[in-house]
Amino acid sequence: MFFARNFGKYRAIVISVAMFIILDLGVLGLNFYISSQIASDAVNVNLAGRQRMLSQKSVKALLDYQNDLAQGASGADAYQEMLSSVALFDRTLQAFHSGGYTSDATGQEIFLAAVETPISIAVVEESLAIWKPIRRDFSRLERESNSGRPLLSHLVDIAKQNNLTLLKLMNDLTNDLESVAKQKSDTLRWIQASAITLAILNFFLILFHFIGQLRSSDAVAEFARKETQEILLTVREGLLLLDSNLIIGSQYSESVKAIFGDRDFAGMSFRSLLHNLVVGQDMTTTEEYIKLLLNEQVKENLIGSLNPLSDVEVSLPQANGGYAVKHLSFRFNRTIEDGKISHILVTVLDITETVALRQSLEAARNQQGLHTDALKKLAHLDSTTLSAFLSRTEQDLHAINDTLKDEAAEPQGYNAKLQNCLRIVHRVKGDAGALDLLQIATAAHHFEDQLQILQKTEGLQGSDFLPLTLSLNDFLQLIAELREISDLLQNLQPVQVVAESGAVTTEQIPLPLDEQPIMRLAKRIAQENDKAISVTFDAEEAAVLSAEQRILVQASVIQLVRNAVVHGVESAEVRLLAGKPPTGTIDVRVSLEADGLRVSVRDDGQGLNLKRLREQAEAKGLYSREVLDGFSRTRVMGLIFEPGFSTAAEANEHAGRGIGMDLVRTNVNKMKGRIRISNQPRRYCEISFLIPTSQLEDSLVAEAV
Amino acid sequence: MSKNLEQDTIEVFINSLAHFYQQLGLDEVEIGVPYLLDSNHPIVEDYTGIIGISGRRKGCVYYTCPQALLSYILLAMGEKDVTTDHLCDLVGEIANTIAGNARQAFGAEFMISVPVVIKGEPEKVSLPKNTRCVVIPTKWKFYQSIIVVALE
Repeated sequence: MFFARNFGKYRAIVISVAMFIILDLGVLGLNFYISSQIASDAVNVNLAGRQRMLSQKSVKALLDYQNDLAQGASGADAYQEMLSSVALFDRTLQAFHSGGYTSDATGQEIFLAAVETPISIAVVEESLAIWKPIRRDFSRLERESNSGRPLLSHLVDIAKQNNLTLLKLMNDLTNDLESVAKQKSDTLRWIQASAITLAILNFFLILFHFIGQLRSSDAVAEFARKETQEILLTVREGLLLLDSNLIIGSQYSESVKAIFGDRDFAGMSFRSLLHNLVVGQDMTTTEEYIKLLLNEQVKENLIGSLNPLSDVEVSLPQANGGYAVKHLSFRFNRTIEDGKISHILVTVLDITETVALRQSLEAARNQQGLHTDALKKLAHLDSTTLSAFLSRTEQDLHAINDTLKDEAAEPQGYNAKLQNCLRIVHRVKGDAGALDLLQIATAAHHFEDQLQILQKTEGLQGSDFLPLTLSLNDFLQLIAELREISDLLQNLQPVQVVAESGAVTTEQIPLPLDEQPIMRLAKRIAQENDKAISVTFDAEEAAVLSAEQRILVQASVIQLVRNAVVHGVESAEVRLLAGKPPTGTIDVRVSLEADGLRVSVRDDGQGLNLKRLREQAEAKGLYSREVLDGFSRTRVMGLIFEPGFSTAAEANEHAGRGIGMDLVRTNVNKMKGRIRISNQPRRYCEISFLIPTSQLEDSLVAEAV
Repeated sequence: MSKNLEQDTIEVFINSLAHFYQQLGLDEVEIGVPYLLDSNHPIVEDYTGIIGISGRRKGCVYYTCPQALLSYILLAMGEKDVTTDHLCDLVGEIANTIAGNARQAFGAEFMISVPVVIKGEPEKVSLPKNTRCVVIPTKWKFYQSIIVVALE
């Protein structure tokens, strides 16, 4: 376990090297052993050789002693030599036979092991058999030095008799011991040669095996490196690694250069990479986020949403000296090694195109929504009506632009501008509502909001109008888009066959008031205000109006009906309590009278509450209490036509700005008409206006013709 | 084009002009009520300084004013000799100030050209076609001048 963990893939090489060493050590040990054997064999050979010499030396000394005695000398020297040679020969031969000590050439005692080979054993046995009687005779000679010549002569005879045999035997012993020694040294050489061969083989095995392995692992590493390089060169994302000090690693994808410019990023801190690209606060947050990621205790997927750089807009310097604005998305992931966080992998994606695409998709979707919604509404409308409405609205918006353009002295001039704009846009809103074109109605409502904000602005300046001008532009754009659709629809509708000839324009065909839009508007407002109404419509006589007058009357009726639904008719519950049918009735009537054309809108609602009108006028700061107290009933009722007066609690699309009735008054004034209010609290309210005959003359004449 | 006509962008141009007058130590310029103008019919006064804009938004911004206004400023600055060249230089300088401020304010968002000065000749003012521009009337002493922002 320990081995496997610590050596891993190097286990094989370690085993091989260990075997190599063990082999070498074995050979070395064997070498020592056999060498010592050879050394002792050499001693044996020497001693065996010495036995040869001693056998001859003993015989010579014996003969010398005999000669000396024969010549009358003492022969002591020869005698001593003979005795020592015999003793040494005997001792050595005994040692060869059964192991024992003897002295070497220098006189040192050495141990001699008994011979072991069969030949040597046989030789030693035979030698002993010959030697033992001779030795006995020598001993007797020594013991009985004066025993006389006969023993000596006998000894000499035996010596002569066996001399050659002993010499031959000792010679055989020497040869055998020599051959044993030679055999051992041959074995040693053989072992050494084999061991060295094995060692060399082992060495080559190691060499080839591991070179092969190294080469293949190098090839794998090189292949992997190439693949990594290929990935890093190709991948669209900028990839880089950060260490715990937020320093960028040496490997990063080519896209990093494409995104951040051609520099060397290795070893650079992450902070310097984002220097000038990300604001300081974001940078600090990012660093805190990465530190959290580096914390083992924190769960990675829990803090993903904290990443402050998931979509960041940056301005990157370009080679031409300019800047490119890009959207980058940074992702940070832990890289885990051995169960520990080793680095943070940073993935940078250039999402500029995606963001652009998303934005254009969003725009397209909005546009589509607009178009689909508009198409549905527009498809219901008569194309001539729609076209006329759009032209009129465009004219109205241009009129607003002209109002803005008019030089005006501040601040009264500015307020007059605003009031005028309000009046126009309110009419647009009314018309749009009547045609159920909610988009335009909403746009107009927002425009009114802006106008009223300006009205409330103290110390109003020209530049304060800028947002309004821009909204106006948006509004014109909306109308242009609707006009495109309208043109498209007009192309789809069958061509109108017109009697006689000539172009057909709204101006040339005398039409009664357009009933449907008013009915629709009334129903919609009632529904939104949770009221039940029924509208009766009798407007045939409106045919006497000129086209221009008809537009003014239509717009006024819209406002009056709107007013009747919102302010006049009560909710069903209130009506039931008051003993009225739950459904309110609104009568729109256009009738010819002696002195002109009367247009009236009457509802059976709660009527005007004079007390409330007074309070409202006072609350709005229009008049003081004293002045109001001096007002007649009629004058108080007339308050509803004053600009900025409304009794509705808050402004919505249908009421509350105090512009609608002002618009009616303005329209009626344009036609030189007169307004009349007949009112009975809790019963009804009828607001009508009379367009004098003088104003109708032109169209009546035209009709007559 | 409406979504490109952002308030902030236009305010930068307005403030640039105000800045120019401040720089010269002149009276404050009054800003009038902005209105829309059909880009197919540009309006110009006697002298006009135009800067081209490209990059994130394309189009141009021009400042146009009557000769009298320029002459007045030159005299106020102590210039004795009011020639056409001087007048052109001055309107060019105003346009340059607007361009410089805009460069500073928008950074890399816009690329802003060196101003071009024209005398009269409205046909030489080339605006993006078929859009509406925002006209910002300005008044200095008794003289009217306008900044026109025409961006696609």
